[in-house]
Amino acid sequence: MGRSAEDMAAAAGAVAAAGGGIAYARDGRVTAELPLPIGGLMSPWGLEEMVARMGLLNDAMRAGGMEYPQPLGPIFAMALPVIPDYGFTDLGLVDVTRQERVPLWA
Amino acid sequence: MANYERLLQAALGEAPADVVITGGLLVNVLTREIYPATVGICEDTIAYVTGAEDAAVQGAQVVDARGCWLTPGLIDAHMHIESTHATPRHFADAVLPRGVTCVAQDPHEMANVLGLEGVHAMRRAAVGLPLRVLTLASTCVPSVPGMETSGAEFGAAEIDALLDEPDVIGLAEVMDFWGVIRQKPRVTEIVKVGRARGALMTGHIRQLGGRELNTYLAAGIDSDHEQLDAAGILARSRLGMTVEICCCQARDTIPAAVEAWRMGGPLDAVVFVTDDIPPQELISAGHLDQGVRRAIQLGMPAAEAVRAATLLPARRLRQYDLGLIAPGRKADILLIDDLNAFHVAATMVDGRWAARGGQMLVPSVSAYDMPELALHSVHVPPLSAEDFAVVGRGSRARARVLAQRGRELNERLLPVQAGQVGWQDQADLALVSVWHRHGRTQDHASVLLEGCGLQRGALATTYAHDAHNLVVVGRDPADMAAAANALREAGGGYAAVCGGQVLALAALPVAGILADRPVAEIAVEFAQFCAAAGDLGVSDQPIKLLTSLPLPVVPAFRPTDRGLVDVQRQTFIPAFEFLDEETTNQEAR
Repeated sequence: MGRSAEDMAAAAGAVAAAGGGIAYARDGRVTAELPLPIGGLMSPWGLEEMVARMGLLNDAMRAGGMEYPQPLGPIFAMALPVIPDYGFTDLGLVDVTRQERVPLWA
Repeated sequence: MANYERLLQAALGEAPADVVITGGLLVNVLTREIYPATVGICEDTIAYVTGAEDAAVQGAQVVDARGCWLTPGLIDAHMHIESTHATPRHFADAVLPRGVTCVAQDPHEMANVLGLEGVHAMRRAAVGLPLRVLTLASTCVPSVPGMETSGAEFGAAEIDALLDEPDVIGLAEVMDFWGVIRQKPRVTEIVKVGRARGALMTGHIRQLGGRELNTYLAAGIDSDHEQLDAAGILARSRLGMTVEICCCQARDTIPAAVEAWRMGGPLDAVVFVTDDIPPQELISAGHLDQGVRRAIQLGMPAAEAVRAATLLPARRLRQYDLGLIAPGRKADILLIDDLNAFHVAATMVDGRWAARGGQMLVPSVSAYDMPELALHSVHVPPLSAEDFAVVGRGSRARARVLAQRGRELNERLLPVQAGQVGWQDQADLALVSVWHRHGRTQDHASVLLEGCGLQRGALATTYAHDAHNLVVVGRDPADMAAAANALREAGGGYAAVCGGQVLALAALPVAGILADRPVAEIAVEFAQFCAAAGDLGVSDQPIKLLTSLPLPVVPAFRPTDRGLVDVQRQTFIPAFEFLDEETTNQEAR
């Protein structure tokens, strides 16, 4: 998710290089990163270190304009095609109630 | 199981349900609420539960339940079918009209008579009945090894084999609690099998507390049905124990449960059970329904009382699709036309109506025939009066005499004449004679009993806890022989004899403990036996006298086929000691 193609490419590249995880990029540079190399979902670190890194990531995202208490929440939920009313997946935009794909552009 | 696609279509309202029950009040035993509801059923499963004004109601059969409450079918988590003396099909026909739809039977009595074959007979005889019959593997066969000889002995191998059967869901009451606590080999191996297999392990203890109770629970056995007061119920609940509340009249614990509810609030650790219900009680007072009824009448809210006989036992027995009227659960539903009296108007099991108005719609049928060995289970020779003579030596006998029906032991000096102990001149004495009847030994033993009331004749039974040997109590040796022979010919049961005439005979030809007849008919014969026993002088619970005399786990002195047992010491003591002339003279001086 992004506002700039350059930043989106930087964040995606960092995540791919780390073997998965979460990254935030601004002005073409990754400013916060949470690598999750185990299945792209989990880290080998303890909970305390995870919390610290997650805090840095949230701070960076809030600084970038994500004004939610938990900026990652909407991003996670958006990809889920079972939460009403719309989800966005690798296959496109999904109408959750009808369980149909919806064209993005008319 | 209901067809999955049909079930979901019926739930969604896209297809008609098979049965729709509308207009009634649902007793929700999970939330403890009562409210109007419509229940749709597809085959054996509840498809939906909606509000009273469900416009989409469509069903092959629409039942108007106005004026009725809907509750789940009652579930009895600990009981012995044999106590009703009916075979499973006749038992089912007696309890289904009263709302019992599922029982967890412990076929302990059949196991003690016929071993594994007895357990399997009770399982197979329940196949295809509208009653759900789960089985717990009987763990204490016999109750006390070495003190009596029953028809079989179970060790870890037998329990392991039984747990292979899909309908055998755990271990039945582990009564040998001292054996568990003191790690005696037989019961320890049995408990270890249960633990290894993750089986439900149910218990029975007496007056156990402190470290001993903790030890029993630590072994993994976490239920009991001892009669407790309210404080005892709460104390055991606190330790995570499931307290089985007996509602049978002999050990009615319902008032204590109601008191515990008043003291401690919701009772999540109790389940109502029956344990033993004699045929007369089943006909006159009911089965598990009487427990629910009594709890409501004593002030427990109906939803709370019904919960203790439905949802809580379902959870306890790990039957998560039973015990609640909710979508996806089995359609075991009662229509109750008077909730405070807990009067069952109709019983549904697996989505089919089994009983209505106190009657079975169709009598249950069983394709299973009891095996030959069950029909020939009284292995005693024809007996004569001589077999009931107490042979003596010397001139006098010191007799140890059971008093208070075995709770006490007295001594009495009796004359020995012509080689026999002369006891019949003492009008308050009767002779108790226990004969091994399972063909494993030739043992029999006799002891005198004082104050049982018997004035003449003899009483006999083949249903005597737990070994179910032949027990004869008599004033007259010839009548004792006649009573024994009457039971031998009948294949077992209860007999009352006087002057050589059989006054009453309640035949129990299946293993000497059951009859393949309706419970109401058995109850009539039991009443006739009790009346005859009363005529002979035993007016106070003659059946209880005969059936509990030999049980060597009940204090304090018990006669078995092997002799007179001192229960506390778990040893035999001589019933008669003979004093020769010399000793007698010394004592005289």
